[in-house]
Amino acid sequence: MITLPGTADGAGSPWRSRLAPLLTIGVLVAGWQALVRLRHLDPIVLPAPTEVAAALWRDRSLLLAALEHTALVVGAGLLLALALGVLCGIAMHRAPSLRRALEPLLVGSQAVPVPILAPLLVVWLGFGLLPQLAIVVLVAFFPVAIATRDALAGLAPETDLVLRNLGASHGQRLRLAELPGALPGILTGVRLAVVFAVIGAVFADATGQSATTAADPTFSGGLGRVVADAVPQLQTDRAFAAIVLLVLLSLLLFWSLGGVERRLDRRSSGSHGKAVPE
Amino acid sequence: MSIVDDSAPATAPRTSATGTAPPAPLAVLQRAGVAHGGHTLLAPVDLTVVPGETVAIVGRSGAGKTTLLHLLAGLVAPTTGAATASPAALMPQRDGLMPWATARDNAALPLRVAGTRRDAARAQAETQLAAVGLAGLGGRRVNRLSGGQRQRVALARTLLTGRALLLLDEPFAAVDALTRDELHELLLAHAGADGRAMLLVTHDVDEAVRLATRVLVLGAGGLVDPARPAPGAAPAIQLAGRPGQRLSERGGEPLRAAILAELAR
Repeated sequence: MITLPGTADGAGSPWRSRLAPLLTIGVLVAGWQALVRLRHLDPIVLPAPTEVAAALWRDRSLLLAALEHTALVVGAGLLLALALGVLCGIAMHRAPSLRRALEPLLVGSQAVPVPILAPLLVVWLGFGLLPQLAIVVLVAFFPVAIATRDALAGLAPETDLVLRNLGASHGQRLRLAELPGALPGILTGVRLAVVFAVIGAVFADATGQSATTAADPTFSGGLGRVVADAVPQLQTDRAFAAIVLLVLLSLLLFWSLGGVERRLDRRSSGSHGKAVPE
Repeated sequence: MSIVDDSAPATAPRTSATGTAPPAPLAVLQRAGVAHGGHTLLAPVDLTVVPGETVAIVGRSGAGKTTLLHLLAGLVAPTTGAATASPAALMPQRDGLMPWATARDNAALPLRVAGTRRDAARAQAETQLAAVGLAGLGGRRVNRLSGGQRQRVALARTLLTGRALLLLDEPFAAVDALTRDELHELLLAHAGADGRAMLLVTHDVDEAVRLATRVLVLGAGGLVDPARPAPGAAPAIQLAGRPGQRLSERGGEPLRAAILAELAR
C-alpha cells in the first residue's frame, strides 16, 4: 500500500486516531446538554449530562457493585460462549452432516427473543447467576460458532492439497493450518459476541430478580437491575448513569479485543528479518 | 510382472555405484488414467521415473498435467490402469503457502506434520531457507514476500519433506522472466542431488528444455513413455547437451518444432 504524505493512517498519527472517537462523544454530549438546557426539559424525562455525572458520583457504591456483577456475568458468559462456540464451529467444519443438523437449532436459538426467554429461564433455573449466565451464553455463542465455522473453511485449496499430500491428520490440520489462519475471523465473531453478551446480561438481570431498592443492603443485581428499578422510581438520572457504565464496559471489552488482535498480528508477522532488504 | 525392468532411460544420471543394476524406479504408471463423472481428466499415461532424473512434461491447458501430478502424489486414484509411486512431495500451482504464517513456519510444515518439535523444525527450516536464497527472511510473513520469494519458500517446504520424488506443478508460471531465470538456476542446483528426482509440468517449451533430463509431451491421447515405446508410438524427443543449457544448445528450433508437433497431435 502506498501512503501519501499528509494522509498518514493510524500508524502515522496515533493521537489523531485516538482523538476521533472522543471528539464524536464530546460533540454528542455537548449537544445533549444544550438541548436539555435550552428546552428546559424535566430531568425525569431526560437528565442533562451534568446531572448524570452527579448521579454517577452520588450512587457510586451501588453502581460499582452492579457493574461488578454485570462484568462477572458478561465475562464468565463470554468465556463459556467462546469455548462452546469454537468447539461447535470446529465440529460443524469437520462434519457437514452435523452442520446441517445443528444449523436450524443455532439459528432458531437466535430467533427466540431474550425478553420472553429470560423469565422462562428463571422458572427453570431459579434466581441467581445461573439463568443470567445461560442467557449470555445463548446469545454470545452464535456469532462465535458461525465465525469459527466460516473462518476454518477459509483455508486455500492449494494448502489443503499440501496437507493431504503430507498425510496430515485432522488434528494436525487444525493445529498447524486451520486454527491459526482462522484466528482473525474468530476474533471478529468474539467482538460481535461482546456486544450481544452485554445486551443479554442486562435483559437477564432486569427480569431475573424481584425488585429491590437502592437502599437495600442485600442488593445483588447488576446494571440491568439498576435501570429496571430506577425508571419506575423516576430516578432517570441513575438509570442513565447505569447505561453510561454499560456503554463503557462494552467499549472496554471491544477495544481490548482489538488489542489482542493487533498483538496476534504483530506476533505472527514477526520482527525478525525486517531489516533485510529483498 | 516386473517393475524393475528395461525402462530406465539411457540418460538416467547417477546410477548406483556399481553401475550394473538400474536404480529402482520412484514411480511407474501403466496406462493409468483418471475419469470423473464421464469426463476424461487424464488419458492413459505410461511413465517411469527413476532416481536422479528431471522429467519435464509439456502439455496444453486441460491436457491433465495437474491430474497427473495429483495421481503421483496419491491425491487421486487411477480409474484405469495402474499407478505405483514412492511417497512424492507436491508443490502445487500457486505455492499453497499459508499467508498469515512466517516463511520459516511455512517451510517447516512437513517437519511439523512428521512430528518434529517446533523449535527443531524452525531451525531446520531456517537452514533450508538459506539454501534457497532466503537467509534472514525466515521471520517474515509470507504475504509480505514477493512472488519469487514465495516460490522459494514453497520449494524449501517441498525439499524439507525429504521425499525422493518432487512433483512441481507449473512452479514458475506466475513470476516475471528475470525471476524465473533465477528460480531455474535454483532448481537446477537442487536437482539430482542424493538421487532426488523431479517431475515438472509446464506449458513453456523453453523452460522444459532448460531444466529437464528428458521432455515428454502429454496430449489428448495421453502419454507414452519413450523409454518403453509402444507400437506406433511417437518418436522420442531427443535432447542434446545437459540440463541448464538453453534451447539453442539442446536442439534449437528443430527440437522446438518437434515438441510443438507433438503438442498439436
